[in-house]
Amino acid sequence: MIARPLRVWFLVRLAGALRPTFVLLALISAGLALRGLEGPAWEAQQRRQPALRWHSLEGAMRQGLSLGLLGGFRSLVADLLWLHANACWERCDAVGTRAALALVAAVDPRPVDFWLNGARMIGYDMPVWRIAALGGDEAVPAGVRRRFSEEQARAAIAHLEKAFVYHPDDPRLHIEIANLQLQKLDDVVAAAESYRLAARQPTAPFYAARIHAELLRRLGREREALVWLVALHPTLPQNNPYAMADTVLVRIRELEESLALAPAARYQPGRE
Amino acid sequence: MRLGEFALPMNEPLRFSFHRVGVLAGNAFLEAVRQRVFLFMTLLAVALVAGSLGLGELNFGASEARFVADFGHGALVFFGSILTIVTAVQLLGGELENRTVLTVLAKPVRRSEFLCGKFLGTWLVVLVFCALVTALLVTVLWMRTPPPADAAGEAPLAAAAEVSLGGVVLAGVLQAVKFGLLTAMVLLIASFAQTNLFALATGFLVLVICHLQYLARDAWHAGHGWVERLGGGFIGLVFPNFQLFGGGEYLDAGAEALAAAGRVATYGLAYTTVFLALAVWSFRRREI
Repeated sequence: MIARPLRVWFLVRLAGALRPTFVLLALISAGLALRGLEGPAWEAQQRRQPALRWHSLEGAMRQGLSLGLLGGFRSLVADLLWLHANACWERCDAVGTRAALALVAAVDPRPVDFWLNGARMIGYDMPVWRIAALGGDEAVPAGVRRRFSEEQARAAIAHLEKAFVYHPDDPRLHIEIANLQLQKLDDVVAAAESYRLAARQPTAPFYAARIHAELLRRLGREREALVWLVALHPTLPQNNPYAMADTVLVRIRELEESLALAPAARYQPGRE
Repeated sequence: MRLGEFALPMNEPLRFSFHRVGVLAGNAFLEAVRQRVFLFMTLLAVALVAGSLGLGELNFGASEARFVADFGHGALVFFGSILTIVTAVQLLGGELENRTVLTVLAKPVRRSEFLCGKFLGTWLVVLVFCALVTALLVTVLWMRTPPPADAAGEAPLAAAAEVSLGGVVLAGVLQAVKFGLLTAMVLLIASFAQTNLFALATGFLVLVICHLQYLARDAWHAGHGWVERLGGGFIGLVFPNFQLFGGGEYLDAGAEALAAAGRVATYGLAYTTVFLALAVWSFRRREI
């Protein structure tokens, strides 16, 4: 008498419990079956645009920007954070500026200008703030000022190097690094190498190759500079004033004079 | 054609009919289009896309075209998601809550046909929304496209990347596929939910989980403890990855983007079929 209602009750309960279990099992099976499609597509997408990393966005979450990020307004959120970074910069707030720059880079690493301008804030402005905080140029010894400048330049270069993950072919990053190495670290060798890397990128400006040669000449490596310019000159368009093919030829001649090359060994345009 | 016009001899098994699904989908579409949420979401999205021109001064990092494209795409994703969840819940949950479903199912209509009709009707509404917003975005971008850069300039300036209109259309298509998947997921939830509020809240929760699914995948591959790895693996397998459908990265169209988009669309459609089949299975066992 009791066994039948109990059995019915048990079967109903079992069916109730099996329903979500079946759904979950079906979804797990589908997930496994579609893994072959998801994996390559996800990797390809990560190469094109890295996904947001939540641990680096905790600050943004506190500012109530999660809705914007989830909703797809990534550019807008990054622009607002960039405004915040500039507000911190105006107050000479180094900690706030660095934090805001890191957030901007985490939210939207695609615009190169964010990386470049952020590095300029770190490398050129922050040493001045640090010196001002200690009483200005008169109060701070030259050695300390020099140390601040170098520390900030290295921090700026480290900031720019993170951008290579997203912009491996962008010459502007190499050029910015080269300028910091040249102007703040007085490292001409490193700057020459950075300009060489910049000149090798497909969208490199013409001046990157010229500056590389000029830095080689400054380092006393005139033969290397000559080889570089001789290889460069035939690739320059004659009708583009930015290419400055005539100037490159003048520099080739100057180097040949300096190296006292025989006339037969000199570069002849249009002849391989 | 009305559903009452379908006649069926007694004791003959009712076969699945695409015609009846079409009629149900048409009715669901008309019902959804008449709802204020469609009009409201469409107007908001259109206003945002058009308004993005006024926000052109805010494009600090990227070009104006890129900003307008990203902003318009954001409007499509944000309001499209809300429209999809609300419409799917209203169309199925509303019928269940008001008991009007009994009137329909009293006629010779299979539950699977009813649910497929609701799915197609909802997806059609979202497709119209996607088409409208994408068309407006393409028009705005076409109007704002700057003249080609001076070929004789310094190389980086000449090579400044702009937005491809084909890429914008591709991004719109992928979002439409994603919304189809979201519709099927919400219908699965609504098929067993007791109230519309529960279905709505769960629908939005699932949307957030699917957008963050890749974090669970990361935890699965590189989690610290076995709990984290197991939890990550479970979520990574049960929920589809909505980040695959893009947050604007397809805006630069090319052969590689097209191939990737094809893979993602296949992934989305396969998942949609699975979720729709589960929703049908769940709805058939529901006590109405």
